[in-house]
Amino acid sequence: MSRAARAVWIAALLGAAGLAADGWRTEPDPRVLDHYRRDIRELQALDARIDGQVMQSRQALVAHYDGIVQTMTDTNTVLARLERVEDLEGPADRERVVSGLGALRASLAEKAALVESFKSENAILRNSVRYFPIAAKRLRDELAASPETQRLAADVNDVLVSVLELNETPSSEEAWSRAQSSIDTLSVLVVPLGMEEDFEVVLRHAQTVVDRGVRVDAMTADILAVPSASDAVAVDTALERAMRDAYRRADHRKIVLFVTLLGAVVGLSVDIILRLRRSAAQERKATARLAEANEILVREKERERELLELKSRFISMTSHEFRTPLAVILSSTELLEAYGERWTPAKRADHFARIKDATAGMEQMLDSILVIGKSDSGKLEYNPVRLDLARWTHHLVDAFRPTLTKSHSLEASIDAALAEACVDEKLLNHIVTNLLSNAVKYSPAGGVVRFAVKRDGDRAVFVVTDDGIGIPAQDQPMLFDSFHRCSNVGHIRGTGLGLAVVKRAIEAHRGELHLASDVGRGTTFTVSIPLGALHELVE
Amino acid sequence: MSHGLAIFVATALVACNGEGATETADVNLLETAQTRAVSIDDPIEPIPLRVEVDARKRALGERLFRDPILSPDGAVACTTCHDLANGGDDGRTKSDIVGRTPALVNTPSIFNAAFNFRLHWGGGYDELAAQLKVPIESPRVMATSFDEVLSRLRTRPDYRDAFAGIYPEGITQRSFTDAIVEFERSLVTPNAAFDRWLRGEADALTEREKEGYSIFKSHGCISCHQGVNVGGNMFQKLGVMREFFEERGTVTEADLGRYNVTKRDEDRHVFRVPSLRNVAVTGPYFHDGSAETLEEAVQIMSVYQLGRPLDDDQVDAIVAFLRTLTGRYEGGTRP
Repeated sequence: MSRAARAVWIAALLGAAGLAADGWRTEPDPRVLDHYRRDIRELQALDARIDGQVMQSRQALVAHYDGIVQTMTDTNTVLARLERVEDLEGPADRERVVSGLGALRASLAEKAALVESFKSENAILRNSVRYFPIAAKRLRDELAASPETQRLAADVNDVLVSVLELNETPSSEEAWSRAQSSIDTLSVLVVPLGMEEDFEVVLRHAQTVVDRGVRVDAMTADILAVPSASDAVAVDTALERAMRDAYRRADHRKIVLFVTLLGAVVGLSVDIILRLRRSAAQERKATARLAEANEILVREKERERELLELKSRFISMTSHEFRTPLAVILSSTELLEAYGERWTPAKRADHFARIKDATAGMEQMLDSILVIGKSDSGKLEYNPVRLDLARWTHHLVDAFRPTLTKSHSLEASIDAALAEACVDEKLLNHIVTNLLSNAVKYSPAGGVVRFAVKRDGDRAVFVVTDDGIGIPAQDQPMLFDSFHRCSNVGHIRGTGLGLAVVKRAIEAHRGELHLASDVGRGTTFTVSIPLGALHELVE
Repeated sequence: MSHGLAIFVATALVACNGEGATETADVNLLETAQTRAVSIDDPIEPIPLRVEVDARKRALGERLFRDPILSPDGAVACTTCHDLANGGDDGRTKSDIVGRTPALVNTPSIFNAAFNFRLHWGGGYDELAAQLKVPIESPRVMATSFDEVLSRLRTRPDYRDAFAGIYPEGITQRSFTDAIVEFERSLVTPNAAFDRWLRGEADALTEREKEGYSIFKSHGCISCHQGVNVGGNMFQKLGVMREFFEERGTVTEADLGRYNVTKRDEDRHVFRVPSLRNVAVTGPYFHDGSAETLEEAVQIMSVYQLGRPLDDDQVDAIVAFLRTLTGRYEGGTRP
């Protein structure tokens, strides 16, 4: 997965989670609904309490209206609390609850108005219920005390009894008509002078008990009939439904959120695993590369070490090899300056010869170093020229012979069929001269050096054989390294450059070199150089 | 069924079954039953000894209540009509503040107003906070507006500091109302002699006062004047047993009472039953201030509301009882 793709993917997951969480937040909180339901339950309880208090007041079980007032106040408080339904987000829920609350509010208002009327009417009724028997009894007793008014006392007693009976059985039509009829009877009787007011009071309160009793009972029934209880149940049901829906939706949201989060977790885990696997592979590769690099580094370090060694060997060798001839030149020159005029010509010539030898040796050494240096840096010049190889070899041997001391001899065998070759004369000179001088140098006195040149197909083969000290096997791999000198050279002087030059010169000719040597018995170098470069030259 | 009433009715029935000889005994039973019916009633509750209020808000509310800065001319404070040293009202038939339209109704006492189930004669307000706009805005009282009152208060650093110390929002209609209502809620008068008697202090009332209370109950006053405020928890028509207004004459809009609030015909001449707390020091009486003395008021009530006159001795006894309803305002002088 690319970084961009992963970012998009994570953003999408976060967005989904955000939406789910947002949905969750805007859902009605079941706890809020629970509060509403608790309120509606409280309202139901208060509503029932009002009914109870109204009935108790009707039956004079409670002495004052403070209880009803408190219940009404509490009802309004809870109703006001309930009417803050803004917490309900679902439009359907809200509509159901709001309309249910509207109906409930209306029925509670209706009930409140009825209760207020009830309180007023019931107060009047109770006043009369309380006072009527007192007034009626007093009047009856007063009438009964006098023989002229005893008949009236019976009528007053009729009213007293029938009205009290009515109060006992308020719903009885029969009791009502008997009470009303006794009142009617009493009201048309001729009242003794001075007692009009007493009769009026008794009749007024009797009529109040009859009328208001019916009215207050009707009001009580009306209050109980107000559908506030069922309205409250409807709201409760709507709330319950809303709550159930809210819980279900909340559960749904929870599942969505859970699945989203699960997806995010799984996705991220997979991503992490893949990345871990990828990085493991990369690590393996990196380790391999590291090992490789390390190896290279080790090799380079080794090479560097070799180069350093070579450099130090070169410095020590050259300083030694140059100092020696320089010392010879210096001493011979000083001697010649100091004693030259007194020395014999032979002795002077000897010292001049030493100087010349030392100079020549230095020149040769510098020449070798230049060849090796150029060859190592790929700048060795290869300048092939047409050359009569047999003739050239004859000249070389003739030139070499004078350098031989009397203790060595050279046997040369030059194939006349060599004819012409195309070679670098200077480099070829290096090859042959070095091989011949080495053969002489490392051979004991009286040794014979055999030099053969022949043609082998399109190649010229030079073979130099000596009966010298030989080359130990352990030195042979390093034989052509610069400044390397074999372990058995002893005090034989040398620079360790000759064979290095030979090898590079042969390589310049794309020739080959073979070595056969036995320590203490002698060495044979076989150099094979192609002649065929001739046609290249022609072209 | 009520114990009292049940026994009372049952006894009456028994009395009616028997004739002649048993009558006197039955009537005795009837009286016992009636006594019982009255005695199970505890129609009046004592005023609570303590009301929980926020002392700082109450103090600020009292300052505002007493400060004429509320009125644009700086002449009228709440205490102009609700004299806390004098029963919590103004002692007038109807208030008549200089420079204001005369009032239409008698000023009710501010004391114990918090215990009334509705406020004002017509019961147009449920809460102290809601009714506050009437004295503020009425041309008969402050004749101003909340905005003006609040602006005036905001010019006063002392008020700014006092409000800021209590209300983070500073001087607003809400905080202003809250402080005044908090003070008004503290305006209660506990420890009236009658309350102390109710709480068991047997000699807090004289025999005459107890007799008055007894008549107050038996005569029927208690039907409406009950509860902690001895009234103030229901509506009643003025003129239940006789037409009060016909006999008084010249009916004004103010006489319509609750009708002015509800516009329902059955609410004509219906008023909130006034509290009788501190009634001895809050005359004149009734919505129109038509009764100068307690005796006069008791007799009018007895005739028009209860449908029977009281003799002078009974009135005197009831008045003696009513005088025991005068309590003590703990936050100030005795009203």
